[in-house]
Amino acid sequence: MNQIEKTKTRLMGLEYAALAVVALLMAYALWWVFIGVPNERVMGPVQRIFYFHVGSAIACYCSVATVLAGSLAFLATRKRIFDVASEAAAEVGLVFATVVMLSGMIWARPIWNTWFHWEPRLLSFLCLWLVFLSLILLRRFGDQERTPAHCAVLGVVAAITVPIVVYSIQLLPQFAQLHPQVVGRRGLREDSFRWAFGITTFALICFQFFLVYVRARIGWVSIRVKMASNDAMV
Amino acid sequence: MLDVSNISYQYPTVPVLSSCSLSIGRAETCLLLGANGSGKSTLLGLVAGLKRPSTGCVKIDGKLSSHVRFGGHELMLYGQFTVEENLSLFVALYGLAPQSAVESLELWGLAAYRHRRVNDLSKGNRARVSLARAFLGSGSVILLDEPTAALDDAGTRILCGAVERERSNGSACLIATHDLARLLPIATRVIVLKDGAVLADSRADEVEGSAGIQRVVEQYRELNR
Amino acid sequence: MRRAVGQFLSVFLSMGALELRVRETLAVMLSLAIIIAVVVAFGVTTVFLDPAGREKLFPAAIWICFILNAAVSLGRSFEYETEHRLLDGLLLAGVAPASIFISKALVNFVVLSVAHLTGVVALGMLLGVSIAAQSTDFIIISVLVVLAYSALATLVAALTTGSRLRNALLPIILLPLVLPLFFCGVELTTQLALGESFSLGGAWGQMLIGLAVLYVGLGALLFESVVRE
Repeated sequence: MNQIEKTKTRLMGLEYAALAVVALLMAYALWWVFIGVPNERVMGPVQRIFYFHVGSAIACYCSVATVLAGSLAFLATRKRIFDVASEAAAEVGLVFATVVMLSGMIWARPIWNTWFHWEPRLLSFLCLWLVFLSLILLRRFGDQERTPAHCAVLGVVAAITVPIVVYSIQLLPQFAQLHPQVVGRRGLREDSFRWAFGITTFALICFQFFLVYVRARIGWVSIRVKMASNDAMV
Repeated sequence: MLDVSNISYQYPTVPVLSSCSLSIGRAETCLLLGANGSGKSTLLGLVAGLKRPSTGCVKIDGKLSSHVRFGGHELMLYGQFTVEENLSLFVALYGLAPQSAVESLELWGLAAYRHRRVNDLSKGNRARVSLARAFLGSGSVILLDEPTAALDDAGTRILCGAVERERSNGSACLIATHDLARLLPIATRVIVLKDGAVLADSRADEVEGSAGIQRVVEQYRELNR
Repeated sequence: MRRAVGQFLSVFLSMGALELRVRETLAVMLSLAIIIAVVVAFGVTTVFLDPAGREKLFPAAIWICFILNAAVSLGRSFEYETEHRLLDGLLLAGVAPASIFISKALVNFVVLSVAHLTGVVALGMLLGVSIAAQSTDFIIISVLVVLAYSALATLVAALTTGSRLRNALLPIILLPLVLPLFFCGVELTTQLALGESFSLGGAWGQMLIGLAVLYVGLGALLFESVVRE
């Protein structure tokens, strides 16, 4: 067995180990969310969606950070691997932003009696969702010869703008602040709530990075395949 | 004077140049030959600094970033401006005397078209304006990408004259072309590219001078057969 | 240094001359400013028949007009500079990418300002609202918003120029990113319209100044990566 194949086998082993860890974490988190914590007093069982909702939101911000880091690294080094990573983070970010929006809507329907409310944090995530979408659209429909550099530039601009968007939305007149100010204010007084929240968030962040890794690996392999087939044609 | 070392470049998924190296000295006129897609234009774009290499570097007089003169497939002009306005703009950008624009117009036989918009010119005249722009400035390395493709014989004579004049001033000229018939007479060296790497170089051969050029040209013709 | 300034002026004047010659962006923007103003005014007057209601909606209406108009009309911003790859020629002549960016952003700023002014006048007339009393403050706000907007839009327009979707892609990418700018414009103008004391020292004012500086800076820094392959 040569060196490359040895490295490949070791990498495969690491990937399976990571998959196992993420799967166990998610299962543990699921157990806590559905069995470990009692029903919330006012909202009842529907409150359990909170753990996925907020956890996904935090994972989503991790995606933004990954897009920023990948884009900056690509602009500095021009290594395709960073471009692939930021592409993966943008796609996974879009998925998590969708989860946040949908879980928020499912939660809002029984509690606020509305699917979507004109409310700062909902609005922020709608914007974040649109920003991820624009990153993907530019990659798909942009100038094909310059896609990596262009996407990196937009990645930097978008990632810097996201916190400003979130901040500016919170500055808006708070006529419609329905969102519970949970952590650090009054909610989550029960220890089991806090533990479930912590473990779910941690699991979702790990899951997010694992998905980014898998998507990046697919992106990398597909580039190699395209290059090999272009080579073969020559 | 011009040193390209181990340069590689790839479009998102298409490798174009792989570890290509060459160096060109003072007062050389070097023809760059090669089939379509062999990497000629990409190499010139990299030397001009319009593209960034994935590996390797380009040095001119030992320095990494230095301005070269470049006439490519594209005009690099405002299509909506007249010939004179375009040349005046570049004369101003290069910090030359305003008179240079008029001189350049006359040199390239464009005086009659000076007030025409570039987009209204014929293909041949557009090529002349583009070359007139390329020869402005003071970079000691001149890169031309298929300069004779749209030129008539009179235009080619003007071009050859301009290249010879620059060579006598010590400039190095690298010309990517398929037009051996019209450009071989002014060449002092010939390089053939194949699949993004140097296949043959008249100076690297044991036989130097015109015999070397002859041999490399034969090799190139053999490739095309 | 003197050469760089000279180059910047040459590039800026040539881009300005081009805009004056083809008048495409200007024509599209002015027509759109009036058309959008008519549509918005129609919508507003149908819903709010009383003048007080219209006055309240006026600040939002002018910035909606501006944002939409600018996002649609700047899609062809780099059309003529990329037609024959003029930008490569400028880079070869030693012009700094930041100079090219600032020249184009300034030209867009001038064009957008004219369009914005047209939109404000048209909407004011159609809705019967006037902010002439606070015109100085309004001009300060407008200059800052339009400046920040032109910088960001110029950078994004450069990204979408080579796209197959072109004009359609610019609004899709730009609109989510300009929301903070939009909020700044609406909030500050509302303060003016309500006769509240206005200062750039407040949260919105500071954010507006910060955004203008940020977008001009980001554009100047990142433009090289856009134009050099």
